[in-house]
Amino acid sequence: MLKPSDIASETGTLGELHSDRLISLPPPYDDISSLPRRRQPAAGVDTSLDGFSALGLHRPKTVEEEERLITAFLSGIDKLLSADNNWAFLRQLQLSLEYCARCQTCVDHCPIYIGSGKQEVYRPTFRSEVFRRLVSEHSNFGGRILARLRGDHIALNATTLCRLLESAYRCTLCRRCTQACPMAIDNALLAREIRKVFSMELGMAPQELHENGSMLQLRTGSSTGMKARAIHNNIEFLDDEIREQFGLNIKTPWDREGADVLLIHNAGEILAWPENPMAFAIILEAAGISWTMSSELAGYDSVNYGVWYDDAQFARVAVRQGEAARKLKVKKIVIGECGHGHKASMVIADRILTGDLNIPRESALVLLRDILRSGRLRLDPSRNDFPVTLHDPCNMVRMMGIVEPQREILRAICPQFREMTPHGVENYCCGGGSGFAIMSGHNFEDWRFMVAGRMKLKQILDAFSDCPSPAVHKYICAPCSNCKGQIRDLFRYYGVWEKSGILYGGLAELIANAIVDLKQPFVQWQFH
Amino acid sequence: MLLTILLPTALFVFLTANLIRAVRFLRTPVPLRWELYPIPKGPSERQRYGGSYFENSEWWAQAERSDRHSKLIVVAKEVLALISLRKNFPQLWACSLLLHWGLYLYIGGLAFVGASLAWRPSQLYAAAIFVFWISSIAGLLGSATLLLFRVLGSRLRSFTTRASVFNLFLLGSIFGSGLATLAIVPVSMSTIVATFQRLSTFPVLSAHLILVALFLTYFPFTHMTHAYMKFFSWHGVRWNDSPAAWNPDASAATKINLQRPVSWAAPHIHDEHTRTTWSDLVNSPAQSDTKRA
Repeated sequence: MLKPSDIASETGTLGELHSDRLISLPPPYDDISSLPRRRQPAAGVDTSLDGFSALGLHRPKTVEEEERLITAFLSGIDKLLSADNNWAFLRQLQLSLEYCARCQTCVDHCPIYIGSGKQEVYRPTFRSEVFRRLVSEHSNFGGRILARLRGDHIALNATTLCRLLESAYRCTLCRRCTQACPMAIDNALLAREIRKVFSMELGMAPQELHENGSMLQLRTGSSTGMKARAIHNNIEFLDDEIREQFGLNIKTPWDREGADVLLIHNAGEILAWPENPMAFAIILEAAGISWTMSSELAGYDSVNYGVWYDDAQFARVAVRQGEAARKLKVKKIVIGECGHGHKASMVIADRILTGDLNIPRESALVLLRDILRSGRLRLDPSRNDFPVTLHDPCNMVRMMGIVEPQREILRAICPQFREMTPHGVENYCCGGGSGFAIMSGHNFEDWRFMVAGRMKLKQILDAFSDCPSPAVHKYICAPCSNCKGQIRDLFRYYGVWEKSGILYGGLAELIANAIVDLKQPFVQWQFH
Repeated sequence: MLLTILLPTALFVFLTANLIRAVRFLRTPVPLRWELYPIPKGPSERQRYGGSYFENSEWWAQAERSDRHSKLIVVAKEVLALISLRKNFPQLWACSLLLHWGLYLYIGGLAFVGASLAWRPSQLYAAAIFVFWISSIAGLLGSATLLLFRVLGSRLRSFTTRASVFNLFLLGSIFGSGLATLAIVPVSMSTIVATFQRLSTFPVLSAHLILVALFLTYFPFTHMTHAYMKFFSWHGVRWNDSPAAWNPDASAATKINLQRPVSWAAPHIHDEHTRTTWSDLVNSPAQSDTKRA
């Protein structure tokens, strides 16, 4: 049994992943020995948590470096507990630090812990308890003496800190465990607070989220690196595609002042899944919606990676998105199919966007549902007569309660729609949450596919257990870019398209596929 | 004489320290939202699946009232029946329920004693003794079985702290000594008065009252304060879905919070020459960063 104090143990790997203990999948995915390990981390990269690395950490080389690391960490803890530096989450943090009964009720709700076959290093309370003990020992009056008396002492060294930080990136922040907690203690919040200490005080965060994510977005306008001109060109190209493929003459409106709707996509869609913005353009034009897109900095990309690791980056992006909408004097912002973009903009930034920055923000799923209800689209559900199931993005569903609009749509236009188990607010995370879907450095991808996404894959396969043949084309609807990214990578890793014929995609695509005026079906049964 | 000083002092510490804890918490800044669904919202269809006002078209146009009644029902179920535990860790549920009901009944027994002192019908006193019997048996069974779970159960063992063991041992001792008192001592007001005057008169009762005093003094400094802090984690965080559009107080508080100084040291945040507040930080460009992992 792994104890919290073991995190400081200098020897070997704390919890080497045992593939034979992973949760079993139905045939032909039941041969665990065939799981490939594709990458090895570079020499010197610390993998002492579980044999994987999300951040590519290197241990301090000298005693002085280690002392600096520890001093900076303790300084970060002080700031985390201060009203000035952490006013945004201090209350939540205090509750989760001080009132856990250590009853372990939450653990069986974690898809990573369960998916791993209950390997102790992934127990959601492990990192929480380590962090809780470190904070108590080093921040409270008499904490060191009390820690020894209580048997709670954890040695604070470079090993502890490297493993603690890596461990904070073994939680997708899905908050399913919090749902189960009788005290509403939040392991995900603690994981995020750990990430914050390291990012905001020590400048340590995954490159994909920080340098190539929020920093890039603040510099160029998008985490994809696309500047306004590039995104104009890309969307123009998609307008041409709509004309050529589907026979519709659409010109996406840009910077239209006073429009009813400012649509902000996750800009990654435009590069990775262009069919999604195309479907939106077709639907909004067909429904006669007054809409626009914005060329302003951060106004054309709904992502906000700060929501996963850094309050400063989060607030900067949120305010810039608000400013883009204010300049255009739109009536409302509609967030495209991007789960964390929903939560960042509509929930967490809600109180930061003060005064005229607080422009009403609505989910695209609600707008699509309203369009369907209005009867303005001519739809033929038989065009979607194939098995469809629905993934619930945690940020939209468990954390925002947007559960039914997408289901109302699917029930109306997909005759073979079926739920996965469990679903709705109790659904499992895709395994790509909290930035994992875009994190592929070192050997983190292998962990993401073998462990983080395994429960989701099982759910999807189970939902289609009545039609497992690849000859029967099936569709998993995931109305979130990060979820789609994770499912795409997961399917590639396990060969799901070849073995089971399951395609993934968004919600708008299914609506577009049902529109009778298109000269060819919108959904192309090609895996990409 | 010792008990005459000890028990009122313990009660004073209990009340004062708990009050300070709650007030200190309430004085922390108004945070950003961090709600989690389902949130109790009456007998609506939406409640069935855990939906929110975000599902409404133009949700901001019509303020949704907080449904205190539904929340109260969930809290009552949680307090009285520990429904989360029953659903998610049924093996632990019965043990915890026994312990919790032991405590509730103990408080109930004290209420009966208080009532019997005020109105003096003998039935009230008899009821108090009966409730204390049930309370002691339930509490002792609950704490003993929880202790076994903590020490032997594979799911809890490695996360059991000495403090958890001590807490259960203390509670078990209180209920055990209470049970022994009921069995040995002819409990009446005169025996209690005699015990207050001389500890050695009824040593078991004295031990029980000393343990109760110790518990009252110790309780406010432990995680057992979840008994009331749970209110803040459920109502203040998990169920707090009040948007700025309907809650101008929260927005006003955030405006003040944005004027707070910030001193995080990472290169993308720290600029000692130009930025001093969160408001400055939010509106400033991020500095390039060289310390990244």
